[in-house]
Amino acid sequence: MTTESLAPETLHAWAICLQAGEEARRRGDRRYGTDHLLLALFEDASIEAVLGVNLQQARQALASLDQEALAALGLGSATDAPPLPMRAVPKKPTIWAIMKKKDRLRITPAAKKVLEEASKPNRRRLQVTGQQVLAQILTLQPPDPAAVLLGDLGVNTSEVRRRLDAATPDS
Amino acid sequence: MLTSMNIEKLSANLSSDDPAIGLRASLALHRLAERVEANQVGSAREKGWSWQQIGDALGVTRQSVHTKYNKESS
Repeated sequence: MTTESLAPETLHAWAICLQAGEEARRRGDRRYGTDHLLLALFEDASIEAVLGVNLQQARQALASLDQEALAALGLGSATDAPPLPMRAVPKKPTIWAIMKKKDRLRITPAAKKVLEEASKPNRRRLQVTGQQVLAQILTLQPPDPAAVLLGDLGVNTSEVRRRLDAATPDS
Repeated sequence: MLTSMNIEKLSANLSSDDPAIGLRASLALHRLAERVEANQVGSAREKGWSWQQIGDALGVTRQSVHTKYNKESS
């Protein structure tokens, strides 16, 4: 049975892309990857319940991973710049709204594959649930950035997969 | 916060050729540079610099800085 808090929410694939793009922009990335897709999924309220972590924790974990990596180069924790401001993203973007954005970021090949695989079983390919995308992200292994992030957050992937199965009515 | 112990350990990791950390560090540097650039362009604009001056300083055209950083371009 589907519990209220775990009810999947349908998202527009383009909205996920735009939101992931804003998450990437916030960090100073020039492409958005699987880690940014994962952050964008928190737009679906059920994702926080399924993963057991929230958006702020995930962003913080990415920032700490960067700090650790920079420290490995000998750059101290004082070497930092604040995150950049994000812009609001429409829930149902039109193709024109997307084409008009001249400074939109490109997707990484791994993130593209995740989105394509997630929406494969759907009749309408642009409608996808956050849980479908999360299920694809869970199949990734380090050094994929999303897999590294989930590992750093201490997320138990098999437990999350079990919760996803419980929340999906017919599969 | 990273302690000096942690940094020593991580430096040891890097010198032991762990590409996972080395490659992440490279990306982290890119991100850091982007954030520094965006913040500096913002403060240059506040100080009255023209897009042309900022472009000259960064070694790119006026148009490309404007497209990337103009707030109305979204």
